[in-house]
Amino acid sequence: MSEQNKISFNNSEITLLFPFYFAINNSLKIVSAGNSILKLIPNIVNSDFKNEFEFKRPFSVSYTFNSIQEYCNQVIILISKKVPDILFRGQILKSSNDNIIFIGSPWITTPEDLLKFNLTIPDFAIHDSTTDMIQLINNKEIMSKDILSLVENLKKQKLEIEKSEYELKYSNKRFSALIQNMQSGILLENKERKIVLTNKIFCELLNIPVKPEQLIGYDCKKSAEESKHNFKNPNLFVKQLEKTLTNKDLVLNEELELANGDFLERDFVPIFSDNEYNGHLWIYRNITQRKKNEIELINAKEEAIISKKTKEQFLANMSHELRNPINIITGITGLLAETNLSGKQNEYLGIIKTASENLLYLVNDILDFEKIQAKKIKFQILPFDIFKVVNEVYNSMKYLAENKNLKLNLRTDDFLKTHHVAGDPFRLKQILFNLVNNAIKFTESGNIDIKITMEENSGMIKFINIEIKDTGIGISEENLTNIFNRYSQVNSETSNFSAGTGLGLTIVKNLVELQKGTIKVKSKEGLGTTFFVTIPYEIIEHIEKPAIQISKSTPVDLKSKKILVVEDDKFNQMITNSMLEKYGAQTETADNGKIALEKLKTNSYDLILMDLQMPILDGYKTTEAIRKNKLGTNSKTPIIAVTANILNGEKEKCIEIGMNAYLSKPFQENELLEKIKDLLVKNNAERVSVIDLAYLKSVASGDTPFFEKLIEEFLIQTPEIISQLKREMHKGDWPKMSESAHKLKGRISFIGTPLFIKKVTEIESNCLKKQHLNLLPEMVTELEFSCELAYSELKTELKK
Amino acid sequence: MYGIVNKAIQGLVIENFGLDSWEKIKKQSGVSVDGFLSNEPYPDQTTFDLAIAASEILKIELKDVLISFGEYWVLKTGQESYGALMKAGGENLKSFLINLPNFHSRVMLIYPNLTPPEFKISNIEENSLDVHYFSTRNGLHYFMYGLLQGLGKMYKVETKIEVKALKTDGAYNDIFRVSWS
Repeated sequence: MSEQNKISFNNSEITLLFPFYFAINNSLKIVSAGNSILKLIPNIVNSDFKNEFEFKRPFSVSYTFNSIQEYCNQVIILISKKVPDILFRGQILKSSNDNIIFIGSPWITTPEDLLKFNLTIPDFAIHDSTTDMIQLINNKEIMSKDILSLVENLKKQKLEIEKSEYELKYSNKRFSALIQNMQSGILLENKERKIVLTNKIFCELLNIPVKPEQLIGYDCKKSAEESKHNFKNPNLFVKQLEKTLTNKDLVLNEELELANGDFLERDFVPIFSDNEYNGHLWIYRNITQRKKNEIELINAKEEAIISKKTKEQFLANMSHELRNPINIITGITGLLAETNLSGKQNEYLGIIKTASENLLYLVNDILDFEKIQAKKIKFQILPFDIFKVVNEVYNSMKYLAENKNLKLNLRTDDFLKTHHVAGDPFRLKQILFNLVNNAIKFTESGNIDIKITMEENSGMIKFINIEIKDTGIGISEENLTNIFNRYSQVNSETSNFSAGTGLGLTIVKNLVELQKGTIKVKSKEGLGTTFFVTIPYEIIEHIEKPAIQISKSTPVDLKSKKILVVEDDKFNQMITNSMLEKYGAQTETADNGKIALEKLKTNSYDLILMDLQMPILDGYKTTEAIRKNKLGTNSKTPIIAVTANILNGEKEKCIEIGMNAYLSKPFQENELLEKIKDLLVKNNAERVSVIDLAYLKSVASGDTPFFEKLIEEFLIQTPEIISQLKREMHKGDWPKMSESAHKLKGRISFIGTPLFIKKVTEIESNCLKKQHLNLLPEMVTELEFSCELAYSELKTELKK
Repeated sequence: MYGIVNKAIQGLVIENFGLDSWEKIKKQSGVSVDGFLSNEPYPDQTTFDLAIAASEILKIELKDVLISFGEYWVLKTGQESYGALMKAGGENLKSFLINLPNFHSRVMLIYPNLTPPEFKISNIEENSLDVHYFSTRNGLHYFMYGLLQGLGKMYKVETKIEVKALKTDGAYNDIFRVSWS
């Protein structure tokens, strides 16, 4: 080796440049070593080279100094004998002091090996690129890993795509199969309006003579024009289609009528994905049969309504038809009872009377139930004496109870004796009659207790508590639950009480509840039943009995009276005539209104009894003709309406058209006589005159047009005020009624006699003070009658 | 920026907030890659966009997001890919940091498309030194902060990092004083 190739560094310099160097002398002893190799193989200095290292390359070298130095220009690879697996790669050089120096680095290719040999990057010389190589190799490994990871991801994605594609394909197949098998016509169009899917039903519904698959891809833009001939109104079809496609809103159950009379129903379903319109689906259904069914259903419903109306009408007519014969039976029974009869005959007559009364109950029940069903039932609000009503029921039922050897007891609050209430007395009576009658019917021995109390509170609305307790057969628990159901009857094997319609308690319950009341029942089989009814009533008055009352017991003398009975039913004629003739009246009959009018042309009567329902000319029209002053003086003849029709409003209607009183068939003799007595007595008194025009004439001071105008004003305005007065009375609105009476008083003061003025003043005063309210209906009828007379007299005055 | 940085962001988000949050962050940032290759260069903007979107979606301040990414890179991402190499970076935190300038100079050759930052170490004391951070990119000093914190944890020493100077505040470069005990 030449001197030129010898290197000359001191130990610290060489270890900085070559931290893995070591030097050997000519005895092959290691004389110095770098810091990093000492870190790897400690204590090698002063040890024998042959003990520490072995040549891997060149392996042909002899372990002599001279032999080794010959390899100065070759790559040297050494292996450590003490540290396994570590190789050193480098070269050998001669140093200036003739030692052989190995310069190189450990052959390390992975970062893990660095850690394995406890080496760090700073252990390598800065110029040494071993660690860079390690990093490069590491990077390649990382790259391979990343690529493998990406490939794995791609494989997964591919699998997912394949799975999705399979599912999509399967789903498409299923969808297609579903569409093909649907019972509706389906047409799926894409956003360019090309057919994507359709089915056989669609082709059939729209008469398209091809297979559905042949339509795929067909452009539907002209389809409206092409298929419009199928529809009954082609232009409407095209317009609707265009509108639907423009709006792109969901349309359901759109009906289309085809030219052949069939009906289709159509849905339009727009398809949006991420707010982007992708096409739409049409669904067509044939609804011809359904439409037919609907029409049939509507017809059936109409028929049912007509049938119901017919039934109601039938019941109303039947009631009329039934009430007339009942009237006759009770009338004849009454007449018969006054003749000389044997004991047996009296007994039979009693049976007829009871039977006819029962029949009357049945008819009334049916009528009431129908009215409740049709929601036509109306309640009057009239001032009435509740004590009187209760006692009336007690007195009439007492006889019935005594017949069965039952004791009927009545207990009432003193409060009821001194107070009047506003409400419907007729309906209260009906409730009481029904419940007491039931109690008597289902009780064989013992007693029936009626207890009426008024709830104590300071308000104007008080609850009347009615308790009807019997010691009868009682009601089983099972029957108790449906006791108020229609057609329900206690039907015990031990009793024979199954007579009746079974509607009684249903009617009672409805009557109570419609008046905002409640009804309850407690019962134990064999021990008896108690009904508890509570109804709210307004307390309107503290009773001060009027000083003068019209005596109802005054004997009636009709000897000089001529009465016309207008009645189509011969039996009714006979009964009425018989009742009247008994008291000396002269009677004449007319079979209908037309005959009555004929008679009135030539005859004068004191009173007319007018049936309302008659052939040829009914009672209303007849009365109108009489009151329209077509018959001279007879136009003022008092008329009593007689009818079997008990519908609400009937009475008002009679008064409105000019009748003076009202009698409901079948009537009792005393009822008829009272009406006649009232009318004839008053009529006589007022026939003189109700008007006194002296004051009016003085006001007019000879100004005839002004005088006439005042009279005309009276004639125009008064009927309206009277109607208003009556409406307010029915509502129980006493303050308003007082105002109307006051208004009327002002008008009557100009033309009326003091008596006439007094009538209206009394009404005004009673309303204002809320006193004698029970007398108001009668007072108003009288006032109205006086007004009617006044109209007539004033009209005569005007003619003058 | 090489993919490994973005991988760190991805890993941190998925590990702590779930895959859904990562998908939202990707959607918001407009980054539409399925996965990052560690040694492939990606535009720096991708990294910034991901960091900003993560801050918005996760409702964490951008500063804290970047610090977390730095720590996560050292402790998770770097360990997974360069675990042994990082450990060979130095016997302790001090030697690792002293070797940091050389390491990054070598990295430039290994990653030809990368412009790695440059470091200078000064004021070396027994338990502290200054790390000077020179970068052509702006706004990554908090990422650097996180990396230094992560290194402290990697060497299991209690580390304190003080920001001595910031480029964003007008300094020539960022300087962090790293102390350990």
